Amino acid sequence: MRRPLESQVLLKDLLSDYYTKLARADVPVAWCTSVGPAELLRSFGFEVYFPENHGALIGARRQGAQYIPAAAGAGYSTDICSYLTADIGAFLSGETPLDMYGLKELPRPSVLVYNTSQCREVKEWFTFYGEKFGVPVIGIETPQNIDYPDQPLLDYLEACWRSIITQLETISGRPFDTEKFQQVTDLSGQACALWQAFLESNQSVPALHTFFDHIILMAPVVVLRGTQQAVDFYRSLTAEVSAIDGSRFREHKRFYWEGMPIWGKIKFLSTLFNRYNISIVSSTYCHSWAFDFRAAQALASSVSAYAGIFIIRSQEYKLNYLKDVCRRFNVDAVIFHDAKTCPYNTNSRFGMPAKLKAQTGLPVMTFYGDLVDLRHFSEEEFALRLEAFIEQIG
Amino acid sequence: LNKSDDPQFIGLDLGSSYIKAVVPGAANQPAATFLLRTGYSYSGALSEITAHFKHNGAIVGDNVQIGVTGYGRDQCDALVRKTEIFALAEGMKRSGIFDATLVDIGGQDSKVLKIRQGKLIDHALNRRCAAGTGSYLEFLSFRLNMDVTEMNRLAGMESDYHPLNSFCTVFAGTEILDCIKKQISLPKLIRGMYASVAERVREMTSLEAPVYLSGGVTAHHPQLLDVFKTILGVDAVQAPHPQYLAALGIALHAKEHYTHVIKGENI
Repeated sequence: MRRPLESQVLLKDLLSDYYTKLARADVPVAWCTSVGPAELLRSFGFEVYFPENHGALIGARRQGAQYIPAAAGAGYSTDICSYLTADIGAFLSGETPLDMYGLKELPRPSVLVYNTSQCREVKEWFTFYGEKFGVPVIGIETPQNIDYPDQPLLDYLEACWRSIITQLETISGRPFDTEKFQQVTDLSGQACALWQAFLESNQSVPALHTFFDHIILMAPVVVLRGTQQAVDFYRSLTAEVSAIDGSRFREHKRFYWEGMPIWGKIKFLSTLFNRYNISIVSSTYCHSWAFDFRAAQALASSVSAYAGIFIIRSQEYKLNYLKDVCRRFNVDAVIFHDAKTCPYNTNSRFGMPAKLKAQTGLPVMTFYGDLVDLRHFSEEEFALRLEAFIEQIG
Repeated sequence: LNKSDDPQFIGLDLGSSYIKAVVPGAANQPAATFLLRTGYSYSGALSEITAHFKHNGAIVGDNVQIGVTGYGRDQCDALVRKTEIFALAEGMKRSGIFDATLVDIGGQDSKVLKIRQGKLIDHALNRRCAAGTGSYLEFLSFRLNMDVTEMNRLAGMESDYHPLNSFCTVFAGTEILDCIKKQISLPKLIRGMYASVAERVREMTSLEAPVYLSGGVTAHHPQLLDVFKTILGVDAVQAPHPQYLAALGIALHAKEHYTHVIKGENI
């Protein structure tokens, strides 16, 4: 049986330091989307705060149903992203799960910077806070459904980035420091490469770790990429994983997880899959932060990396990606999470499961849930679906 | 006659609305069946079922082995415990049907099973919503103050139907109030309810022939078969023992498990 990785203890200290630093009034803070230009912001001397991480924390503490109605009452529909509604609802309620790190309220931003490379919701989300705090909201408008990021698209996006740089120079009162940006990008690149290597180590049979480890251990590559701490953390994780002897782990089947995590059901789901000796070996979600940054071409590689993420790619690209990753990780079946409030990170609504099944022969199962709003998820229903699926595939 | 030391088997389908129980007999047919409302205590229900079968002579002696399926399958001791999807597929296979699309419409969910060469190859469940399930028809029958036999009879008087637009059971109830005000004929209205159930099933997956219908809803509203044919264009037939199919399947599976695994016999 797998044991929790020791790195999870290190992670607690690391995140505690991160949030404590954000709470210091003397540090200028920029808010950024999780696949936004964090490296750029760090190069301008900002500490970076990620509202999506806050939404996930609310989800993990199962407080979504407590806060979402407050946002809905303020006009933010329960049908839109539940990260957004849970986060805005908590803000309107004057509460935050960051209180466990000593923060009584969210760190006050100097600027909010988004990238629509994941969804359009982030722009509306940041606009809400921009109006509340009276600070600028700037962003990169990345189009959706990209088959391949070609040169005209990259040229357009690079122009967006240069515009952001100009605006950040004004907001921060500092000139853009190319060398610093390269240093930060280099650190991001190192962390992402280590993260990718960690995820790929799960090609081993039996798997050394599971999706439920990944969604905990991904925190530094999201909130601390561009820092030495993230690099050190993933080096330590790599060392720990390389020492694991997985040969005696029991593994009946290997599954792939497509879609968002259900933050408030991590324990329930990991226990359930464990009961059947099923390893969820890999996921699209956790691979989304394995960016390919190169310090020597810091701007160009950043533009390209953020334009190439799975969520904004075409259906054809996504299908080919899934076929490749399922082969690479030697999976026996794929489960698709149809997240009620996240159409962008739900890939079961345009026939993808049926196509994947037809082209690979892999059994697929789609289930209904949500990332934060647990009213859309039923433990009983999921347990039945999974048990029947296992009975079906043997 | 059963020798007192031979085990006898009961298949239990612990559903959301009803508990269905079967004692299997010769040629994989039910020798006895029993139906009771799902109450608070599954173990109390099991005692009641056993007492009933002993009283009517379907069970003799105390060597009784249980196979259990349905939502309450974790709530009582049993020789075998499987999902109702597995049990339904077993029920079909042991009734001699090896290739089928089985639509099971139960109290709180609808399921579609695809069985090929006796093997379950795929299944689908409805979304987390009562629309299109037995609860939907129960709620609407309450609104109309009408029992299910009467609903079924009236639906058979019309070939046309009044479409109901609401996905939501509660809003469908409101829509029915509007239909009453507009004096939509009852047969058209009830047939519209059945059409709504059929349409929800069609949304779940493709329905390749031959299509069979099972479940309590099918058993008590056989006009649904006609609605599937006229509205969906699906030539569906009723599955064997529609309300007891899962209970029969799990009972026969328990019997086979006992013979092969417990006694180690090859038959």
